[in-house]
Amino acid sequence: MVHLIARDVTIAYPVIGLNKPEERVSSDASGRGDVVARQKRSFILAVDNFNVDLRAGARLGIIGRNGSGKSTILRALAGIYTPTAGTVETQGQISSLLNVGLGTRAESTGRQNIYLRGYMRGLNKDQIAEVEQEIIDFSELGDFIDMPVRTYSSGMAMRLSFSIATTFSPEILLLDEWIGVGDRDFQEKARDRMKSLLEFSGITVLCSHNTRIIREACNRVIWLDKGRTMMDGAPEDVLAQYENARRIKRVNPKKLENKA
Amino acid sequence: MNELTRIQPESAVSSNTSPVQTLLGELKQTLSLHRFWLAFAWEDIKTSYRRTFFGVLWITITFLAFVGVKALIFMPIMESPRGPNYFILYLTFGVLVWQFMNNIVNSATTIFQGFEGWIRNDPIPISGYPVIIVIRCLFNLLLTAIAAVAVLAFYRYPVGLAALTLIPALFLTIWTSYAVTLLIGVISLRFRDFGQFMQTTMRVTFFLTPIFWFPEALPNAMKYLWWNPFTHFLWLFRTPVLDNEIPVDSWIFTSVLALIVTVLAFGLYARFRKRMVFWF
Repeated sequence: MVHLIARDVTIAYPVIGLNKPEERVSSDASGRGDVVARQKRSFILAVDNFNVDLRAGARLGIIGRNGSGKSTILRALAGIYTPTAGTVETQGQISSLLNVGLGTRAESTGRQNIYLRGYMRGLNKDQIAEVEQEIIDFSELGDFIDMPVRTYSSGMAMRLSFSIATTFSPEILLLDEWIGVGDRDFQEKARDRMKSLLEFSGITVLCSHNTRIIREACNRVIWLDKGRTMMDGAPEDVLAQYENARRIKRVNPKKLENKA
Repeated sequence: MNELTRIQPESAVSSNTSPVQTLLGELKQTLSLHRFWLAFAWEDIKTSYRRTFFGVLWITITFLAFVGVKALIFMPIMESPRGPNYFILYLTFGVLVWQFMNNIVNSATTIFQGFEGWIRNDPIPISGYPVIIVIRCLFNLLLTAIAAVAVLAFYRYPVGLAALTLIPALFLTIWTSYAVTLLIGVISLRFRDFGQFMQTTMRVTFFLTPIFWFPEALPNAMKYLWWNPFTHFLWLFRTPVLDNEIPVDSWIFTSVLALIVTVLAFGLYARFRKRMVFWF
């Protein structure tokens, strides 16, 4: 059965080239997790003690400001980052869309990229050829499919990646700030596609700082701030708290910092 | 600062399997993804000569031009033991093998930087990416080897049975190339100076390898230059073809070297595999 479990996941990045004591800072401007010095080396504590247990049908949204650790935790769930402490346990084929342009070969055509990603899945040429047209149609790229991906707009590149990732029927789909890219029509299509994925008993994890997208796409939300889980629960509860906190901060940023 | 006591970067535990098991599992996964590495290498080759008239033939053209110019300049000043034709073939096969080795080492210095977008997006084994480099360099070798064989045929040079050892020599070289690429790749990713250092080393080593000069001409220097590993890989290929001899010393030297490089490469990789993604 498909599952995705993270237990006490902590991730500290080594910061290479930031080893002199005077260069150490306690927290960088973007609000990213604390930069900490240990054994002459610096680390950024990007995710602190993250726990989640996802089963078939879960649509988790992770919300938080820039640098709150959303992308880091997503990479840990994808198996790209090994947690500094804690464990990630997955059962099921993972497909991750972490950033526009990542995982595509810019000099190759869209069509060749479909094949590259298919081969990466362990499929053979015939198996890919079967779904090739479906991917092209869904991506609405038309004749651009035979142009190098580097000539695409970011919306086009995103449409291609999304179409590929969701057509090779992933059991676990990890998306980072994705639905926000592309035009409104495609966003709607993407949401429908994600809903249909649930019929295959999949798991979706979606990171965003956009509450509207999370509210529409998810049935559970985790709010991250500076790598820590602030709240975990139903979308309406968590999003209400999240927006509330942001409002307070906008009105009186000093006050909130004192509290923290 | 009290947060720090919990952080143990050294003791990441994601599974209970031993490093050897993990490594074997990765190698198996790498093999199962053979279509991906092949397709990627082919895309690399295709796109680098896109919109050129001669296409990949440029590899052959460049090779012939390089050998031709070298022959023109060095032929009058080199004492060839067996005549000027022998020197041209000596040079051709010298450059052929050297270009392959040079290609491998230079590509290895930036290999993982080049695949950053993939490594940071997809959890496939990082140790698979050197396969792409080796395939790409082998393709170049094939195109230059065709030219070298044509030169051989042009001079109607007799080739003996010792040339059959080129087949195992090629396998040994392919394996060593893979291990070397992984080793240099890991070190250069972490220590960016190492890549630059290797590139400089290769430029110098070109002159320290008997590609266009004869070892007999420099007996004193050869005492030291004998330890140049590139020399032995060169002899592994050139001696059987041109002299119909099997270079036993070079076989021992390269085999031992392959073993050492393999142990170093996999040892280092197994140790730092999980952290490499943070080194970009």
